[in-house]
Order: sequence, then C-alpha cells, then structure tokens
Amino acid sequence: MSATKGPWGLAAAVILGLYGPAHAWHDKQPATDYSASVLLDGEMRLGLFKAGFGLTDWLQLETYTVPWLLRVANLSAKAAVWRPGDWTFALELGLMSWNPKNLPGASEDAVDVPVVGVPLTAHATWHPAPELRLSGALGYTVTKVDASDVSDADLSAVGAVSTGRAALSLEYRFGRVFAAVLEGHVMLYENIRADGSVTTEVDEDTTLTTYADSDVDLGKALRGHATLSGMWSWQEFNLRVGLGYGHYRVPMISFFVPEPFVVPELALFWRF
Amino acid sequence: MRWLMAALGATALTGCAPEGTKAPTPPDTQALRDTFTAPSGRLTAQSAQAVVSTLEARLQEVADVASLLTLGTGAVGALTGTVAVEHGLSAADGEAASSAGWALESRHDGLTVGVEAGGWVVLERRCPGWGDPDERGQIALTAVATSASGFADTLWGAARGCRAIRGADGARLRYDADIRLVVPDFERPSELMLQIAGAVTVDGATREYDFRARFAEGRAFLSQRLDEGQSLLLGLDFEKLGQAQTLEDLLDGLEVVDAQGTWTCDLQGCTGPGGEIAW
Repeated sequence: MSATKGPWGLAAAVILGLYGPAHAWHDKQPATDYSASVLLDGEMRLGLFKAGFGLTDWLQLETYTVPWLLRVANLSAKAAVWRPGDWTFALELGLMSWNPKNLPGASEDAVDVPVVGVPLTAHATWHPAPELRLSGALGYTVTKVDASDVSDADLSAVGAVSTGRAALSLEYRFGRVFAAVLEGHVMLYENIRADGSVTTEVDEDTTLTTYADSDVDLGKALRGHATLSGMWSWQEFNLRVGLGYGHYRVPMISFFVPEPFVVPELALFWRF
Repeated sequence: MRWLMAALGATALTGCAPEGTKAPTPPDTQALRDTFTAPSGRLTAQSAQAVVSTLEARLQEVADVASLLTLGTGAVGALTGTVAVEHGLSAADGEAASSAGWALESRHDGLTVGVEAGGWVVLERRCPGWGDPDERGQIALTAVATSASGFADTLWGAARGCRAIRGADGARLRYDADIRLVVPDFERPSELMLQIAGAVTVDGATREYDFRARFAEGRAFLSQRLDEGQSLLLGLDFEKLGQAQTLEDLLDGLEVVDAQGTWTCDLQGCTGPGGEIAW
C-alpha cells in the first residue's frame, strides 16, 4: 500500500483505518452517540462508558456504565420515529435516579436526598452524501432534588433545574473506518426553581420557620462546548478520541459546567 | 408506539417539576387601619359621658385579652429580633452584587437563611398554659417578605387553645381567636395595630370579642364609637393597662384623640383644644 511510504504515510494509514479487516462499519452501523441513528435490531453495544441494545431496528435502550459504580441508576430509550429519504428523526427519553444514601459504604445516617433527572431529546440527521452526515438535536432536561425528608434536620427543600440545549454535529467519513466528527452543544436556557424551609428554635417556647420560594432564570449566560474527534469503526471495535473545549455538559442531567475548560473525548466500545 | 415515547416524555417531565409552594396572601386589614385613622368625633360633655359609661366594659375587655396582647406583641418582638432586613444582595464569589435586589436574612445561633421576595416566615409560640405542659396551646403568626421594604406590614395568624393564667386574679384564660397585626415600621416593632377576633374563655365562661388596639408612644389606643357613627380614640397608658383594676385607674392619665386634637385627662376631666370638659 502506498500509505506505508514513510512515517507520515504510516500514521495516515493507521488513522484512516487502511489496516485491519474491512467489513461493515460506518456505513452499515452508523454512530448513534451524536445522531438520530439507533442500534440495529438485536445489536449490542458494550463499552467503557456505555452499554446498549437494539430492541428493534428503530428502538434502542442505553445506559451509562460508570455512574452505576456510584449507584446512579440510568437508562435511556431512543426511537427512530421517522426516516424519510436522507433524513432520520429520533426521540430519546432518559431517566436518572440517585440518592447519596445509596452510595457504596454510606453510613446509616447518610442524608436521604433523591435526585431524579429526566432528559428528553429530539434528534434529526441528514445524510446528503455517502461521506457526510449532519445532525442536530434539541433537548430539555429536568433534574429534581428532593431534600424534604432529611432526617434529624430542620431543613426541607425541593428544587429542580431545567435546562434547554441544542446540539449540532458534522461527521465526515474518510473511508469505511475513519470519520472526523465536529460536535457542538450550547445551552439555550437554564432555570432553577427551589422551595425550601428551615426551622430554627428562637427559645424553648418559640420556633421560627423560614420558607423560601425562588425561581431563577439563569439562561442569559451563553454556555456551550465544541469537540473535534476522530472516530474509528472496525467490524466490532469502535474508538472515538478527541479534544473539546468549553462548558462541559454533564451527561444525563445536561448540566453545563459554569467555567470552560479543555476536556478530552474518549469512547471505546464494541458493537456486535 | 413510537409516538407513545413522546407522550411518556412529556408526562415524566411534568411530574418532575417541583410543586411550588406559593407564599400565602396576607388578609385585608383595611378595616383595622380605618379604625385608627383620624377620628371624626368630638369630645364634648355628652360624648365624655359615653366614654365613662363604656370605659368599665373596656376595662373588662382589656383584662380578658391582655395576656394574648402580651403574647402577640412578644411574638412580633421575637420575629423582628431574629430577622434582620438587609438591602442589597451580597456578592457571591466576586461577582457583582445586584444593587436593585434585596434579601431578608433570618439569623439565629449562627444560622443564616436568606429569604428573597416570595419567601415568608411562620413564628409559633407556645402559650404559658395552666400547668399541664402538654396542654398549653399556641399562637402562630405569618409574615410575608416583599420586594419593597422587607416584610409586608401585615402579620396574621391565630391563637388556638392558647392557655394562660391572669396574674391579677388567677383566672384561667383560653384564647381561640384570629390575630391580625399591622406593623408600619419594623424598625419600631412595638408601634403596631392589633385585632383579636374570636372566643375568649375566662374561668369557663366564653365571650366573643372583636378587640382592636393601636400601640404607639407607650399607649394603647382603643376606638370609642359614638352614637352619631363617629368615633374617638382613647389612649391608655400601656404600663398601667395590665394592672388597671378600677375605672379611676384608666381615667387618670387617659388621652382622648378627637377631630380637634389630643385631650389629656385625669380623675376630674380632660383638657384639650376645646378647653376643659368634666367627666
């Protein structure tokens, strides 16, 4: 192969996936992370950070694996609801549930504060040419924190953060194995609503309960991040490596970190 | 099936939104305020007789509600003593503070709780009781934070099964009444208007009261209705109010406010803008 001529040629050959078996990859099993595509019927995905299963050719279930180590239960269902021509439209509904008292090794008097997150995302992908896919998404996430039943405390609070977000991605294939992916997320708005109360004892006969009810719209600050990555897809093994910058979006709860920073992108999984 | 997901999503999102406890709305206290606006009546020889003839009944009324008066005004003191009104939000992490904003901070034992507009506080105070610590009853007062000046000037609540023993004669008092308070200036919480409407039971005998008083400048002002539908304000020395036993105790040092101005009274009569009037 001509790509082996010299070290740069070798590197280019590795990146573009000219070595290794060439079966069904990007074109047959399109990436599902940043698009409206779903896993194939009966297809499994197992990886470092995600696992998934294609229930049918239009419906998949996925879960983030690492959060389970902290007893963060999470599951999402994504359905490709419409596929007219070069387009695919999908809806994705997730559920995340966590409570600090369920943390491994948590003591019996650990606080009981259920946290529930529900992200809903609408995806659209346009496939105008064999080597190009453009995807967009609009998402809405509500994360509710319930501290109304904290034992041995006079604090009671219920709060919810709702976030609206948009995402765009461009995937360009340089072959059946390698694709470059440019992906961006931007927060459209963020709203925090909290109701809470604290009871204090003024003296032995008098208590004062302070109730707070706040509704804060934090959507004025622009937050987002962009990632450029390379995606390798062999017959079963897939690897995505890249680098991003910006207000990192925490998966599942879609919280955009207030301060921007450089964040590596890494996904490693098998599809079979 | 596919579209069912969208419906499920919408349902799940709706269910996740917090229920949102809304601040209670203060009751209308305009009638209480009207009671103590500039009196329309005039103190004359005839109206002075009306004052004297009803003053004894007022003395009974004051004696019956005095314990609840003390508890209510004490509750306001406890409220204002633990809640500091602060204008301007404190800067967080070096960010610019909102000069247009404001916050209330409830402080006690080192605990500080910020309450912005939309917040409210409920103060609950156990009553002295008759001796059984489990049956003392309580009064509860609610105050709502506003965006203009800290608390709204109206506090309200109720006494429920509130028991006390009258110091003067050892009578057993029980209060089941609604309480309205108007505090125009929280910098001077002792100057307020108060209404107690409900049942007062004294040694088993229950009377219904709609007692209204304004406390200012060391006096308790009571409204005195005249036959013509006009009214006077009677200003009783607050210190003497609790100990007053006889009609003379109330007359000596009484102030009467009428449409002309303020009259000062003693055991013989009153002196004021219209000259002298004997009882």
